[in-house]
Amino acid sequence: MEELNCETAFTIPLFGGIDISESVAVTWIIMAVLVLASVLLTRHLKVENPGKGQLMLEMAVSSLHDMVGEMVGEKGRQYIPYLVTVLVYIGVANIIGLFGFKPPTKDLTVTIALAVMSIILIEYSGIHARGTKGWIKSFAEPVAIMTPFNILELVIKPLSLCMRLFGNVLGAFVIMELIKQVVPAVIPAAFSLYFDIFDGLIQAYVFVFLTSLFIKEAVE
Amino acid sequence: MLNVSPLNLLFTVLNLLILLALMKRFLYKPVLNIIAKRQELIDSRFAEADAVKKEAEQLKEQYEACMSGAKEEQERTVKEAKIRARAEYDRIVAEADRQAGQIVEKARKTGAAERTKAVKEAEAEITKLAVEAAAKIAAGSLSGQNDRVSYDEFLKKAGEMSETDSR
Repeated sequence: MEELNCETAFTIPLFGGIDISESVAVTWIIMAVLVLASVLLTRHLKVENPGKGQLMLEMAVSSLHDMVGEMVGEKGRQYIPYLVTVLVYIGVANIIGLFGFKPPTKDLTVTIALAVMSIILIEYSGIHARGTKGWIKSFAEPVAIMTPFNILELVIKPLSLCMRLFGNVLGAFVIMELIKQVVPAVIPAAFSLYFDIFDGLIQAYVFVFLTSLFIKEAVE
Repeated sequence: MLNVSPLNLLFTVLNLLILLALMKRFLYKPVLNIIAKRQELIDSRFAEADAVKKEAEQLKEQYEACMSGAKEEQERTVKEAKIRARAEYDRIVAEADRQAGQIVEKARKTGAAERTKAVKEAEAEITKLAVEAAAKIAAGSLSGQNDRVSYDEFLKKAGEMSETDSR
């Protein structure tokens, strides 16, 4: 069962010791990999006669951009970079189990952080688009009686986002560990294809899709 | 598994914000920049092509206008030339007619003068012959045969003369 625990990776000997959890450490690795890959891929970009690598990179970035842009709507364009970043981060975090790391999204702390950032962004976009008054009034829509439910949604939305992601990744992780206990070779690879790659990417997409949808709702 | 450490939550948030800044700086900006630049380039190329096309059309219009002008000019010139040629032709023909008439007139006059002159000469000759014949007759020793010979000779000479005249 020790695989399920989120252990402290190391302790920084400052202020009486700062515990850095495994998920944060793995997040650093993911960040390093993503930034390094970006730097390496965006070297020598050419306006004319781009190479195959550049074309694929451009296609990947612009298709992510367009995909998120469609979900978030015309008025939410400014949030696209954040949403794409979260999409890429969760996607990589979910499939990093393939490389022997524990997925950071298996740690409830990370999914809570993501969900809190999402709800802050959603409400911020609402305030930004309608003004504070309009934002407050929007709680009484479509009818006044909905107000308590709309206020509850402030908690429900991030909670569902966070728990969905956490539960899916944890579930996949547990199943994969169980399969590995029963059959150590070959079979886990096939299941990993579904639980790590497919489900991981789907959950990343769902998280960003719902956040975009809420932002769209908030700004329109 | 379910324990949540606030410090690590804060770290995660910070990590994500830093990741966002880094991705914006190192992935988003360069790639979108290059795409925008290419779009700009394509747009400018299109604009250029449009401008060139417009210019070409203008040139074509000018050329066509020029060509139709030239055609009109040509037709006009040909017409003028025809009219002038006609006039010239008429003038030359008239001149030729006149000259021919003059020549004919002159020739006729000359012919008539020649004729009167020839007739006068023939008359003079005949008169002379007649005078000679008369002198011969008058000179005597004339037989009937002699008379005849002289008479024939006289006729013959007179005939020859009138023949040359009529020619």
